[in-house]
Amino acid sequence: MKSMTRVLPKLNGEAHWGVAILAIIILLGVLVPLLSPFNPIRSAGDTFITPGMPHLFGTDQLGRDVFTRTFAAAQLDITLAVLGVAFPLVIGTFMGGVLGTTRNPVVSGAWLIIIDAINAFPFLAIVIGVVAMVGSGVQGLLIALAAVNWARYAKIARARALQLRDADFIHATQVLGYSRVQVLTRHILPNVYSESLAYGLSDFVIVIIAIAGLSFLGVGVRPPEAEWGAMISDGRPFLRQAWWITVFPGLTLSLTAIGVALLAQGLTNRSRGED
Amino acid sequence: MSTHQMAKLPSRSRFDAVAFGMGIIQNRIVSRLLRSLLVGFGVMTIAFFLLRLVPGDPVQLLLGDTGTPELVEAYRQMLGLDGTLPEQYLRYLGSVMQGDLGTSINSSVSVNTIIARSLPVTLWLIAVTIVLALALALPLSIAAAIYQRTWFGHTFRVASSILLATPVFYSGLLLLLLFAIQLKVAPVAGYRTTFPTNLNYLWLPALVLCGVMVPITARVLQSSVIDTLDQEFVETAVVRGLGRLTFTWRYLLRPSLAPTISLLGYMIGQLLSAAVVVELVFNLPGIGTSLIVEGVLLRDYPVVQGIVLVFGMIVVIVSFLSDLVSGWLDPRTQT
Amino acid sequence: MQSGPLSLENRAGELQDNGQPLLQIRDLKVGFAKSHGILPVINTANLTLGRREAIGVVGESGSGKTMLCRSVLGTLDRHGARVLGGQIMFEAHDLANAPESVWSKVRGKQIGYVPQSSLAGLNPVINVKTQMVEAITAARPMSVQDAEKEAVELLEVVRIPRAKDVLREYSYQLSGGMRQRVMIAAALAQKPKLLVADEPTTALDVTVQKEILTLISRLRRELGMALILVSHDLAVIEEVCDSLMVMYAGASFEAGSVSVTVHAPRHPYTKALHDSRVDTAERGKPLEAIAGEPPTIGSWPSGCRFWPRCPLGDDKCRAGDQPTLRHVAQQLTACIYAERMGDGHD
Repeated sequence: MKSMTRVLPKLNGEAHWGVAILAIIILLGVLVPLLSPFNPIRSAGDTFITPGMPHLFGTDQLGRDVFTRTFAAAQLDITLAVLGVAFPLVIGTFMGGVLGTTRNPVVSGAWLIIIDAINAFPFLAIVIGVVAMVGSGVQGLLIALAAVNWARYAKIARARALQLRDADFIHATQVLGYSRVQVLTRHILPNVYSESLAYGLSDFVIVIIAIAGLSFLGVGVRPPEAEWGAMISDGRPFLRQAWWITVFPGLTLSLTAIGVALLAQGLTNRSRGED
Repeated sequence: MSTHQMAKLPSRSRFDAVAFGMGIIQNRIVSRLLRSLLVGFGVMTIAFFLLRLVPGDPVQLLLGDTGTPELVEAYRQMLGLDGTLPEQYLRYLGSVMQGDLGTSINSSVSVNTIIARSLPVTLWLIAVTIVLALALALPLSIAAAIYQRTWFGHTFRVASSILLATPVFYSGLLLLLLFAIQLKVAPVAGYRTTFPTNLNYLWLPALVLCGVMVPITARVLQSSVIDTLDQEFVETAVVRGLGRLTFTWRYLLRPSLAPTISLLGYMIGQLLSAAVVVELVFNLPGIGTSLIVEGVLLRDYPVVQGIVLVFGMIVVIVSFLSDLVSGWLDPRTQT
Repeated sequence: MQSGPLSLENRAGELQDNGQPLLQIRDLKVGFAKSHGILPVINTANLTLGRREAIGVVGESGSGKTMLCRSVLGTLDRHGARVLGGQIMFEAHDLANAPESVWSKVRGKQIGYVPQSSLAGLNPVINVKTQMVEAITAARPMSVQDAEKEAVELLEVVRIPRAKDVLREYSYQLSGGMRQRVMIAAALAQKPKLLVADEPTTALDVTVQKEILTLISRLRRELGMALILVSHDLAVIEEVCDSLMVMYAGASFEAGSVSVTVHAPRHPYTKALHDSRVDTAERGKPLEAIAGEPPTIGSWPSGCRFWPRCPLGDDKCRAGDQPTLRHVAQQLTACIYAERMGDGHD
């Protein structure tokens, strides 16, 4: 928390925009059950009502309020994306840290091939492959993301751990008689995790788009749950007569991803500027 | 590795350097090939274990309680689930090496047939996208490198962030609405296999894919042109008053291409991911559509397994080739 | 050499024409355009160079000597800098913020450039031949075959053995000294009236340094080129040049013939530079380093920029602007106390 307060005032213009966009979307996502009189998965009146009052974003083919659904989906999508980044981040970074410090070439070589092989697959294709096997839905999505995405974090963490292992201060701690486990948990992993967190922010953009994409394809979150990708898919047959069913959830998804991307860019620019 | 670091390397005598260089080129190709083979092997292993991720017994899941023992046994064989795990693994590797990717449960068609039918569509889509993306990204990246600190560079940065953050299924639907439904300059959906009629169906999906490819390519290329601009040889080229074309191609682009091309494998991966979604948006009968429609939605495990394997193999092969090409384009990477 | 690429006949007329200097830089000001204003790097630079004359420019890093070269070469804008004032008269052209139409007459035709050897002056992805042919045809349109022949001759002029083989090679296959010879040959391809060499021997081995300097010195005399040689090393300049200009913190401090400037300087900074030289230091006597640090670009002190480090510095030195050059004896100097540095001072 202390580091956050040190970071925030120094953010540049782009990052400010990112924070502002995210704050509005998250706030609306949290408040929509209080603000909106409608239920996200129940009909609220006529179908295909054009945007206006009281249906700000109109209603869909089943008469559900698109505004309520869009921000109910914000809650779900953002939560899923946070978890979809967090699990692989924690697992992959730990694996990478261990692999970067191990002295057994056979073990680390074998794991490295597995990691490279997972990373070789097109991200969406392998996630779809895993979902097809473990089953769709929220649980399947999260399992697939964790099973695939950890390898990217492991790759980054291993490279960083290798650097650290050769750094002087690690040598110093070894001379002081720390055990390998102590060096790993007290010195390598904390440093490696900060690197992974930086990547995690840009990974968030990929993951949230992948989650919506899978649901759009019908292999992610299942209807009638309000989810951006599923909503866009719902609206697709009615694109001509009721564009709002598709456009508003898509716009909110894009804005969320842009907000995170701007934040990530602002942060990397800042750390580069200080070099 | 920048040229700056290269220049600082101690210089050997010329004869040594040539002899050493030749050795390195061969070693490099051999070691890259070995590495690609290992990763390819890993890719097959992961495709094999994919089926083992199914919770419980896949055959039970497919047949429910209705299966007769004979049917269960037939399914077991079709999925390669008979025998011990090492046996299954060796048999899988053996048949994949012979080019046999198994048989669809639903249609009893071999997975090879499905892929042979749908892969060309995807390859066409990718080829058109790459041509289009390069035509846009080359001039953009050079301009963005030269005018990095002006409004243009800033706009480029923000615009590419926005494009990368826009999901292709969303931009695809919007462009479909605009070009196919409102302006009626593109077909709404469908495909014809004959060239050049197929281009009529491919240009809009390719444009959507460019929304991903152009920012990725242009950013990589921009940062590498920026590195090149700092080099002393660009200064000497300016002083020599070389023609604009010669200067741009030989002094800005060629030295900057190698890093971009060596990332081609990664970029193809991104492109294939996006292509899966775009194919479904535009109803193109490509491999992505097969994966979802014939594979995932029908729980046709061998189809999913085979197509995912093909996706992985394409990336492994492209990565290997791009390494070779970038070495040929830039003699520096050979040392 | 008779009718070779470098025969002087076709230029004999030009060389004798008049007593005008080839290059005259007057009160040059150069600055970087930053978002919050302008960061000056050169404030008052003055330099006069006759035909066939060799001038050395000496100064510490940050003195503006490389930017001075860039303003003559026309590459300032590439580095985000531009001329803010003054003149750069090259023959009849004023190169200060000159339009592209003027540069196209000068670039690649009249001014040759040899870069710092520490940086990669040769394009790493194309071979030596292509680069030589480019340089030759950019200066004088001719067929590729003729240009290739001339490239061989040029490499022989800079004493590269097996010139034909070297043409097929890439920069990473060449030694540092060889690379620098190729750079010189490419500069000669333009038959320049002026050769600008910015620290051409910095990163080379000591023996190779000597060879390259001898080569530049010989070629200049044989081909009748003028030379600007930038260095931080007085010994290098003494060996090659006729005259010398001393730069400090973006200003010309002293100018004159090499021997007088080195041995009877009229500026305390020049004297300090000379006293801190390693090559002429007397045995047993401690080497005198210049006290303090050179000022960083943009935070120059008021008055004479050297006063905080100067043994003669007093309140008078701190007042006003950086003094401009004035004549004292045979020298041009920017020190207000130059008269105090009499002939017997050294």
